[in-house]
Amino acid sequence: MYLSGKASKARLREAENARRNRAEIVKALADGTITRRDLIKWGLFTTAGTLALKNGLSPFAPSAFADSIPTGAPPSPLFGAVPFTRPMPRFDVLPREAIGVLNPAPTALSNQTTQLLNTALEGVRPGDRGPIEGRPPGDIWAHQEFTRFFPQIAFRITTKGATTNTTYNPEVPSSLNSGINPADSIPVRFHQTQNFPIQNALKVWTFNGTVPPKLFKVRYGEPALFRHFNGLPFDINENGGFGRHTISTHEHNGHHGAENDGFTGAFFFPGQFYDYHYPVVLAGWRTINTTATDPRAGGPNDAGGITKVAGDWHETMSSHWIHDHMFSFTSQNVYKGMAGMFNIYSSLDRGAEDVNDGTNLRLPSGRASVRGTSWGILDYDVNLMLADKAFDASGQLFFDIFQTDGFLGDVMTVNLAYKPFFEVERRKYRFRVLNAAVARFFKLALSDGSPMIQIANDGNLLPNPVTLTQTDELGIAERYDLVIDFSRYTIGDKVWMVNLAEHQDGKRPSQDLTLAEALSGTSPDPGVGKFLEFRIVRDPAQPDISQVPATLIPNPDLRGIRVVRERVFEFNRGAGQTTTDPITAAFGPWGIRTDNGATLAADFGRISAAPHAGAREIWTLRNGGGGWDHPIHIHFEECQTLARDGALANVPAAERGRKDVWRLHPGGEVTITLQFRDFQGMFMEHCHNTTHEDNAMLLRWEIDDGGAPFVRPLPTPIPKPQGVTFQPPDDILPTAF
Amino acid sequence: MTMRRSVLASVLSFLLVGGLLWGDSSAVVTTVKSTMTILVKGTVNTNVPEPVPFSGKIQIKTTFVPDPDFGLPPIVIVSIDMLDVQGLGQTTKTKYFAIEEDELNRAFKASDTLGLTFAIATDPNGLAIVGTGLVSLTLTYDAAGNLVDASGSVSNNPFAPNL
Repeated sequence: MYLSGKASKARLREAENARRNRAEIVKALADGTITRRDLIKWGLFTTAGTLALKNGLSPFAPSAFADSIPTGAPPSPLFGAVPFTRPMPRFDVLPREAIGVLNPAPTALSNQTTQLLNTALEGVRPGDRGPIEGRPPGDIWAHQEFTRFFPQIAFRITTKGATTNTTYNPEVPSSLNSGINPADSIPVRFHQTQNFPIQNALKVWTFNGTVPPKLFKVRYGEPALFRHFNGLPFDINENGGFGRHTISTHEHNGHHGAENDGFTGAFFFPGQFYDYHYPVVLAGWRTINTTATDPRAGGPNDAGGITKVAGDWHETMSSHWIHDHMFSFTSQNVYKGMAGMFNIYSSLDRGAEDVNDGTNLRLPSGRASVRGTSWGILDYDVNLMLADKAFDASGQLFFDIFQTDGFLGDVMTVNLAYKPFFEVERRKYRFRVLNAAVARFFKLALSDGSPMIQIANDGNLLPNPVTLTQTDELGIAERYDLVIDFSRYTIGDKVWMVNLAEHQDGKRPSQDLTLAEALSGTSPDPGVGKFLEFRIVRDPAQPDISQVPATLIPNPDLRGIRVVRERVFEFNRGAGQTTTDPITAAFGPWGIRTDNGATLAADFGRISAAPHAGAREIWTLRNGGGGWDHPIHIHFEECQTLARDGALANVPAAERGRKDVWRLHPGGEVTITLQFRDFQGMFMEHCHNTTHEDNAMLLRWEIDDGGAPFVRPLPTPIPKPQGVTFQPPDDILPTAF
Repeated sequence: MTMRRSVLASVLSFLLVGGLLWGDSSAVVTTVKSTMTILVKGTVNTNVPEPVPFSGKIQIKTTFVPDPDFGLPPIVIVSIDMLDVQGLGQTTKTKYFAIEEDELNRAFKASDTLGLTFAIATDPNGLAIVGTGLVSLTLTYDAAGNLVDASGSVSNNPFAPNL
């Protein structure tokens, strides 16, 4: 339920008091006076997953409305901010540095050189030392194929509290960035006007502490090393009321070893770094096109040609994102700002529309002849990160940790800017749209009902483009690449991107509205309606020669690969917990039932599935209820959708490519197939409604290689500032191996 | 007073009543599925190069989903596929295709009206887009959630006055 800004002052005051009370509980949680487990044990959550309607904890207790938008708080103040009056900033492109800038040099094994630890870290005594790298030590967590794919470029990021950006690099001229001058300093505020408060360094934690969000640009044939420094406060209490200072970073959905996957239990501490090795390879590189002779399997080189690589070109990926994956705290940390995007360029999708080599699909991007680079041109290739936020009375970012169904904000942002505008030319643009919300689904349309062409789903170019006037629901973490042709408009026109998916709470959208309903302004959900204004400002200086070919990337042909195993995962409420490990086990209402066993809450020390290396399996993902939806994410491998509710005919055209996140639909199920190849280790499967994930709808699966080079099953990492130790798995499900 | 005391009070209170949590499991969900194919027709006069009378079949699939866990109102997942809706331009006799495949979660009610825009293209793949139209559908359900009637028509896209 939405508490209107027109609600009585008493009701608003009551809600604000409740928000403060909750904040005190959060503080008590943060300083260790109470634990998350205590809250659950004490019954401060209800079976509906909401805060108990007593003790002044819920802002809606008297009227029994435990859910609100924003969740658990009165409407966010906007300080006079008017929609569509400030420009949308393009992403901030990270420098691609020479590998030699890294000091110490990256190593295959985790760098266990020690340093003196800060005593503000939990469990640290004066004089304690701990490793400089948080990656677990030893062979199991060594970078796989580090020599074969030795990194050629480096990315360096420090995650830290909000600070002013003085190095913004959108990689496009100001004219293609709605007039934003990149030389201007950019403070962290969600609407760039003087009235809107600058965010406190404890409230917003981002990559490098700045906005706009960061963009990685990589290409096949050029392995990368991402050194991630943790610059967050040493004191776990200094979190502004939410967020955890230990972090783990997931490149969603990279095809690389588990040591680089951001495993939820492989987190690292302030003062440490973690080296993530991204080989940027095509799946199947060990067995398919091993001599790298097919130009469709390749990356763009600087000379305008192709660097051919091994692997299956049908596995080419394009639009990823990168985000925190801290166990039980992913929702809070991602909401706080630990999210960016990750564009992968290939010979097929090189990001230069005038390179006409017979391989390049020439999708909207920009001209090499204009930009002086033959790949990765962003002029007409735009990353959009959608997220709903909420603010407290002082305008600082607010999050409610007590709502286990899903946190909803009432302020729509694009690229962390409140309802911005974006200037476009009369030509085709590609938008890489990411749902980076905690629990909100979107369903996108243009305000004039005109068509868009979907070319990719979850970062994978579709077999064929799909023309539509409204997208399917876009679940959390899903990515849709949309081409919009603005040549049909005249200069001076405006058209808006509209959200049709209406929520009442975080369990699922309450319904999808028609365009007329969404534009009527009658929805009680502030997240519905127009959220991004396109202003058609001029003709392009060069004719639009970009293309949307009728064939993009056909799916890999897996028919010749025998299916060795089928598994069923059912996503339910009412999870039980069989383990008690204080670090690896979580509590919460959400859980996963594997192969008709019990519905279990997450424990990253439990092995729920262990497919054989090289094997192909069929997995059924089933929603155990009708009152919620779950966007389920499977790490590491891209999968093909075989059926929805038992039939391929129920799979929409825009979902017939490769994917890594599936909305199950209320009461629905999805059948997928995947093959486990090239790398090994422990990965995850979880709901990407990150509130559900944190409470505790997540499981660990690992690739069983029969015993070598890894031990079987894998030991669980237990990170501490003094170093990572290992322990045997808490639990191994009987059907896992 | 700090909240910590309240937390403590809560603890005692809940320990006394012994309330514990997460014990409930998901209820079995029984969905109701229906499929219907209907004929629609109507003329699009605006936002197209020439007036185009359209006609053809639309496939409608519905899935009624109750919520036994929370007892919230049921929803209906509505899938719409303009399988074979085409038209000939009144002037040039050019063949035009209506392109739309969509899925919506709708709050369940006995009669639901949907207005969905669709792309108009000169190729069946929908890439040579020349305009837009609107298909209006009325879906009728029985109390059990079965789709018992559907009707529809094609008209101008009311949202695109400038195109």
